[in-house]
Amino acid sequence: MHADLLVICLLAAFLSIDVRTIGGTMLSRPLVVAPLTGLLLGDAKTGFMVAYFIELVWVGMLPVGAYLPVEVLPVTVVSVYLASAYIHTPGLGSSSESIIMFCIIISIPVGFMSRWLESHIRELNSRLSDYLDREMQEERIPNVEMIQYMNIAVTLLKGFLVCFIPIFFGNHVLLNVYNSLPDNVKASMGTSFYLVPLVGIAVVMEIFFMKKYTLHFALSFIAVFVFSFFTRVSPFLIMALSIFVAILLLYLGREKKKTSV
Amino acid sequence: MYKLIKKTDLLKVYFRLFLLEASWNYEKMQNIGVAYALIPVGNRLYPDFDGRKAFIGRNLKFFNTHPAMAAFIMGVVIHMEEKIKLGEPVTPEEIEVMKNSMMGPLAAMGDNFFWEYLRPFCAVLGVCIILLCHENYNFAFLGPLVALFIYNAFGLSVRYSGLTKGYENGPSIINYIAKLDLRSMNERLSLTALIMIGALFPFLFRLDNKNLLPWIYGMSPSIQGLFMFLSLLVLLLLLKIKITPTVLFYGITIGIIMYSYF
Repeated sequence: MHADLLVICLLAAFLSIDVRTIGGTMLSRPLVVAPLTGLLLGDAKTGFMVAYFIELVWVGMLPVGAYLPVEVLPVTVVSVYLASAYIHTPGLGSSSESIIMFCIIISIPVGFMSRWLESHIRELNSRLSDYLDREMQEERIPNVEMIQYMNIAVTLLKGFLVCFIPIFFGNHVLLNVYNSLPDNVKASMGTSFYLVPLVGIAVVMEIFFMKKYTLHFALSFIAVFVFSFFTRVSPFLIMALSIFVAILLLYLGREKKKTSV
Repeated sequence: MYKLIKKTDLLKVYFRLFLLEASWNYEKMQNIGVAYALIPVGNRLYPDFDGRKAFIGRNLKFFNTHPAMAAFIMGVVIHMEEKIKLGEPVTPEEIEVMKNSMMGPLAAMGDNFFWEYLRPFCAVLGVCIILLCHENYNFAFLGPLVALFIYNAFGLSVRYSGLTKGYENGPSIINYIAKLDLRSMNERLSLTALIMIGALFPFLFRLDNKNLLPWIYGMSPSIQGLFMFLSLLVLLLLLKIKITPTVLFYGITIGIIMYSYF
């Protein structure tokens, strides 16, 4: 069991390097991390459920400028690990949605802790930058590469500890906390697992919503909605069709713009 | 072009640029990352002590921009540094001015396109695929893969073309950036995302579990979809009056727990 924990925390540590370069790849997003963790733990289903939930709810958080958003990587790893451990605990007797929701709520503080640590690392970086300036004044070539690798090592350590400590010390305590919750609360958490992702869709709508595309959105919803009364189609077909329609509209729009010019 | 700098040097800079923000600090932001990324160029141009020291000193100045768009500036910096070494009339001060004038607009462009539009778009695409697989998660792995592929197809190619085009064109790269027209890309992504969400919405959220909201469970899937759609509009209204998603998240959970006691 501890071997599992070590492997998962090492994975989280390596992916936490990508959090810094977050414009670079999407590897450190919950959408990718959660299924990966789930697969390593032999419970891909839990991974996917956590993935869409966390990705949707925090989709609008942007690391613009000097602003540090809550780090979702440790939240994801901790909640997938705890959820897959609790779901397979015999005799717990509640739905997996309820357990996953509990694990996510419990692990959100880890994200805040990680952000707090990150801001301290950045203060340390300021000192390192000053050190480089002093080296320059003393007529030496500063070893920029060493500073960079040292920083990556610190990030690795942070990424590892931020996942390891909550899981190692919290695993059994939190199981007892969950067991002692009233049944009403457990069932309600299962319900909110289904409703909260709507917040994420609302955030996405707010990002992408443009007044001139209101009609497109409404029409596509109504068309599929009415259609689904009469017959059952594969949703994947509808997804492909909707993307195709969008590309077609864009292509036609481009032609029109060209002729008008 | 490529008189002193070799293609392999550009490739080394390309990979080192991924660590641009590894030593991000509050005073000079990405300065250590820039110096680190340009070390292969410094080694190529200045084998001597004094030249290399001055080169690193020049690049340890304040710098902050979007990590993917930084490749454009790095390309131009390499172009101008090579000219200095070749003895053409370029001064280090001009490089400094160029960096300072380009990093603001490029940061705005990059933040807007990559973080406000492309990343949410890829995330929604991946999430939709996972949600559609909710009965059988065998094919759900396609979601993260598609998201990763689309995001990186843009991210990696912008970095590569930025570095090479920046190096080849020098300061006139601005024309090329203007031609990229990322703003119209935003609109295209918006339209695609809106049509996709609208069409898929009846399928995304199904209240499959029996003990969840029993009064809505008895109805047909389409009515459930309509109910979810109306709640979506309410949530949009709440977001419009500046209630943050985290507050909504806790609010919904606490609300449902309280509802279960009545």
